Amino acid sequence: MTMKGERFSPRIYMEENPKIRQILKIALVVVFVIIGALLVVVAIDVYTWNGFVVRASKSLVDGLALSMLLFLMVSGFFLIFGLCDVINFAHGAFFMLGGFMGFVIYIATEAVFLDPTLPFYLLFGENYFALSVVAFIVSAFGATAVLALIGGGIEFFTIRRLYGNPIAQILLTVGFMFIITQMAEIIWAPSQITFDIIQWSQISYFFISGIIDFGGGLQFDLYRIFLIFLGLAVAGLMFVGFKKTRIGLQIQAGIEDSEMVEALGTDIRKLFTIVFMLGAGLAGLSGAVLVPWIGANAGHGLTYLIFAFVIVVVGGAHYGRFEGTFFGALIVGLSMQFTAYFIPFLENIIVFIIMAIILIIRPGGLTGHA
Amino acid sequence: MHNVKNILDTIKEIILGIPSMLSSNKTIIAVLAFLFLLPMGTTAGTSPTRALLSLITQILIFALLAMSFDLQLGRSALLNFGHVALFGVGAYFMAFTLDADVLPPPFNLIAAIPYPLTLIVAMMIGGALGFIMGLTTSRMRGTAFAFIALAIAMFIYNFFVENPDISGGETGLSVATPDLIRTGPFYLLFITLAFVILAAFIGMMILYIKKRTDYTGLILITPVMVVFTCFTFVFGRNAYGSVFLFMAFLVMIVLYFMERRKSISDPLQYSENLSITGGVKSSNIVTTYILPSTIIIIVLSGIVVSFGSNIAEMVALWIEDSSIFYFTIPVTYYLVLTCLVITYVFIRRLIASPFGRMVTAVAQNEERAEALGYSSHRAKIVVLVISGAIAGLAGAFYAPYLRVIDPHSVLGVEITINAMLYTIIGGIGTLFGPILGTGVVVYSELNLVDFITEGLGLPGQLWLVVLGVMYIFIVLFMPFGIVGSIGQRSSNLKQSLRQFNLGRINFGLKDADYWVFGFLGIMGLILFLLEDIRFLPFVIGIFGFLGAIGFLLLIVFRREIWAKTKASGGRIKSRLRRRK
Repeated sequence: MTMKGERFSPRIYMEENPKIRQILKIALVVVFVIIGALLVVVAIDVYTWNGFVVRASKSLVDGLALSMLLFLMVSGFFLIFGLCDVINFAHGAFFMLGGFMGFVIYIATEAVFLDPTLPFYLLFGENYFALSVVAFIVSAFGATAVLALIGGGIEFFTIRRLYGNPIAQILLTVGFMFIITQMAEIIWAPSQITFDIIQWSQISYFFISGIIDFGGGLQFDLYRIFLIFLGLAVAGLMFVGFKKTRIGLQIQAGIEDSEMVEALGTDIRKLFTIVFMLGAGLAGLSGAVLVPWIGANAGHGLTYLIFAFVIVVVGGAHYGRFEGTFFGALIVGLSMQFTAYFIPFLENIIVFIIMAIILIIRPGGLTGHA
Repeated sequence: MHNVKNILDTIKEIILGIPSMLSSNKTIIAVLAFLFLLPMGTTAGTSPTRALLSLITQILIFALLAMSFDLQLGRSALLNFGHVALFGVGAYFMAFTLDADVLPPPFNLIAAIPYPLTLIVAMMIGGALGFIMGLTTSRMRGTAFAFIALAIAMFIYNFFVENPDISGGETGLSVATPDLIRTGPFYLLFITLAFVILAAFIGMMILYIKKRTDYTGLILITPVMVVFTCFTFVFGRNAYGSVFLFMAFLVMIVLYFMERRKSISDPLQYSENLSITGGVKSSNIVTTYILPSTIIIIVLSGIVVSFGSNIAEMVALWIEDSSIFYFTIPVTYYLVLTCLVITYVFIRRLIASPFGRMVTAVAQNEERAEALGYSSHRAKIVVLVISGAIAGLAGAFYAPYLRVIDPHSVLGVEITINAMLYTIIGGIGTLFGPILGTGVVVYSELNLVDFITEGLGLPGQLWLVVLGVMYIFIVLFMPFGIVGSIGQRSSNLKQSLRQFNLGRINFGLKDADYWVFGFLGIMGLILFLLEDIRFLPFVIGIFGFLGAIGFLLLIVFRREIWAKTKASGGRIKSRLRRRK
């Protein structure tokens, strides 16, 4: 309905003229493609063709590895936020604690495997490579289990009393963030912990120093490629789990409308605890697999918490879908590594630029409602 | 001519409105009077009070920040993860105006702006940034707004990190103390203000005692005056000032009994113990004008006698060498306190105004408010601008207070989280909550290490863990913050205190009586924080006084008390029997 004297509004004009809208859309895409091509040409001009290919492929691999890692962590945050409506400030701390747990469990397991009095010694013998790989897998699962227990315990004993009071939940989770961060700092000191410090360990040959060389400067760390496949595997597993299993369907439905799910006879309280355990466990797993790459540090909590915020918002926070988080993590990880290799001064803020653009175009994120 | 008459009428109205203004803000005036009196106790040398003043200044600066945060979260339901940006731009702007060498030439002209004006410009910059944040609220709701604000804050933080030339980088940018804070007349201005507020406090007490002519009034006013006298005795430079105050105290009791004589507590028992003589009219003049003005003059001159030499020494310090911080700490304290009070009053009026109601309506149900014809977008923008101005002001105070600022200390994400904690712990949507929460958290942050190492014998690193445990306990047992939860629970207590009778006499507390506890509470708190051994006589005196009153009541009303305990004992017995 247009009245006389009404101001010209581009949005209404667009709605009335779908053809112009379509033309503008195509023009926008063309402009973006041209800008992208120009950037590539400039980059090739600056770094030469060979240098450009090396940088691009390295940033691609690193970016994919980082995004898979972030996805592992943020999917837990997303589940907790989506289903329970709890902004879990302690999630970064869970992630950080997962790193330390993985490290501790790895060292303990390796010591057990190397002990000649125990039967494991017969199993591995002198095969240190298999020993370290098995110990690493054990450590990842151990960190997952420990963090799942911690997360479930926190939900069961404290957060359970505070559903429906989001402000109090923030205070509670911030309290847990302080406690976990400071305990980790007291126990393991504020410095970075990496697997390099264990010199006799075989793990560093595979995970840290393992390199795939294609020649011509195209060298990739093996561990980052491993991370990509791990992330894809977990994502696939979760995707299938959400589509096929009963509990996954219940969780997905609960994110859409938790009251309706409760009315249909699901024990939503139990579901909340399970989701908390799952979320914290995923944070633990991602923390544990981060250690061979970056290391464990008590300061990681807050840094990665902000990434978790950004990815969840980009992917669609309210009533969003699981795939949104996956693509959000991809966008964030890839853009961070690309800028790190090509435009270093933008590395810290590119994430926020992208988030602002996405939120301005789609206020609800990629998959969510406004 | 007509215009002049109008102005005179307005002035007359304002003057006539003063008593009701005083009576309706009893607690604020009582607490303020004490807080304004406190810096006068500092001598020109070192004194423990000065360290406390510095701590209170920090608390007040962060309280301003928390109040601005609460204006968004508590009043208009805007969760803002980028609140620190508003604070940080104020702080950096203040740093740039105080040092002309930081910014490149065309921009360093802002250093020419005189000091009090820079505060206003800092507020305007904070408000402008709040406006930019507010522009996004038309499309963004809930979390999306929080994260756009976070993105803005991160842009600004990274801008300052990437440009160490202007931000000081890791080593930090040193901030000079503003010249005005180091001048004597500015100090004297605040001293004058303190005397005005003290006069208001005494006037408030007189108004109170004239209305509250039953025994409760006397019982409540006595400890206030005793404590006030003791304070001047302990902190003043000589004992004469406290003698003046004691005289004022006696005059006040005389006033009380004169008012009591002509007051009618129960209209049905009118003629029994009341003798109306011809003196009513003359005593009216005495009790309305002569005695109150006498009391105010005696008290103010007592304060001058007690603390005059301190003030004179401070002014002498300005003439000798103004750059030392003995001088700047009380002045900064006064300045921040005054701004906090103005902000508090402003916010209180704002939320009571039609606009404040509209903001609340928008926060509770945006669609309904829009359907009623209000523009929710405009309301949010205005709230963000006001809140940004307050946060910018807090930042502008914080930079000279901290002396060295770097991007992390004024623009770090931790400050947003802290502001959120202060607000939530105090209680969102309450006026006093953010201030109280700030006090609790800042004080415990600064003193937990000492408490843990000396009090509990544990390693001091655990302080953050203890703080976290404290938050968890607060949130589990007071889910609406300290002020919010206590406010919810205390209504029953208030009800039972109101109907406290002994015999035929009502000792109940009315709403107008609670300022006494506010005054005694803030005084006890400050003296406790001073850890001064000299305040022990106070405690003994107050408890002795209360014990004496209790003993007297016990003797006078022994029969009634005995009957009451019997009755309640019987009730308990019967309840036990029922349970069996």
